[in-house]
Amino acid sequence: MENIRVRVNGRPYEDRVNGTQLLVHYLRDVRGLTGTALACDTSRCGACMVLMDDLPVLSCTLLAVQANEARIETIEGVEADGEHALRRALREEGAEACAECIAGRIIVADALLRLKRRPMRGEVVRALEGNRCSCSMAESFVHAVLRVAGGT
Amino acid sequence: MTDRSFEFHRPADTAHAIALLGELGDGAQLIAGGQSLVPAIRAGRVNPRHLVDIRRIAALSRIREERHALVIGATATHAMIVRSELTRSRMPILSEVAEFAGDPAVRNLGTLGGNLALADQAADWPVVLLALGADIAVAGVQGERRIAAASFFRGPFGTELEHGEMIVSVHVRLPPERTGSAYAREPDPDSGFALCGAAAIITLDEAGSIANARLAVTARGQLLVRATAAESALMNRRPSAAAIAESADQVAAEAHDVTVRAVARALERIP
Repeated sequence: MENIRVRVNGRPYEDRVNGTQLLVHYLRDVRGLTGTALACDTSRCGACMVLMDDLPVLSCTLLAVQANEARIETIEGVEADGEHALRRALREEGAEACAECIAGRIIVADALLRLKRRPMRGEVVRALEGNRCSCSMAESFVHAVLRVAGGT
Repeated sequence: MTDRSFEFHRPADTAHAIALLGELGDGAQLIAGGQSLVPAIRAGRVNPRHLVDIRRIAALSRIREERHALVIGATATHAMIVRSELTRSRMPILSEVAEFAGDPAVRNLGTLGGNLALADQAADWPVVLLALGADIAVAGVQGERRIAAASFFRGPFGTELEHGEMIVSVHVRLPPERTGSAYAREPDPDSGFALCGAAAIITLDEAGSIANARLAVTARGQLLVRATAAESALMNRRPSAAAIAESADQVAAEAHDVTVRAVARALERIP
């Protein structure tokens, strides 16, 4: 067992974790933050993404011990003030996300919009390259990001 | 995921990391981003008794310019190399190749050193560093040494690293004037790894003929070579489609197209 000190959604925690415990399981099972989805579980789909020190990372491809001293933000933190504008924009696109990958997508898109107020379409598409979509709404999501960035 | 846990160590600096590797022996594994290692542990392919975490050793991730060379720290992430003003302005092929690693999230954590230590020949860094003639600086309890890229890679997933040695940095000599470099690859549609790739560094003389050509090719995850016959075919010739095609004829057939693209783009980039 190893001690870790980590900030999750702005709050500090100190926990003892098994060396082999993945960050995604620490967040879901120890911290109770089940908004982070576990889908492919093989580092391929991006559904499990969280922000670590402001960078989108795969929480299924990180050991909890690696997050010692890090700041983690999950979808619960990103949406602490209510539903993300991207969810509303997606509904307005007429697209309903199947819920598998949406949290991971919002994590990536939110991080991009914090860095770049008006990304070009190509930048949005490239930023989302690690997020696979099972329900064909990927293109609608890109539109939603551009609309939110454009302030509409 | 294996039930066997491991001890986790967090050395404060490179010297401590090296000392730990020396003490802990064969059961110890370095971890930086873990983007290859964590999946390998989960799949049971590796079973370390100790993990030595070097991700937060700041000095190990620096990208800097030394006399006539760029020095990239072993734990510089692919994302850092993509964004680095220094690599983008002085040696753009480095930022370009970094962008091919994995996907954006993997690039935020995966490191150059991790990529090289794994030595997957279907990755992009080995072939580019081979063409560049880069040196890899490694350190262990017995001291430091520099290994030329040509000697560093030994077959698929094999390197020159001795037990207890770690990669510290990669040294890339800055090219002379009138030099262009480019990397071209054909990705596997599923994995994104390079089915084949070619890296070309071409220098022209004042008259516009090819004065120096360095080419390296990777194919099928098994072949990783300096394409010396292809280089010779370019020497002293004026750049032309025919010269490029004849050069590419000298490499393995499956790498022909990427070689043409890499050489052509390298030539286009000569100011």
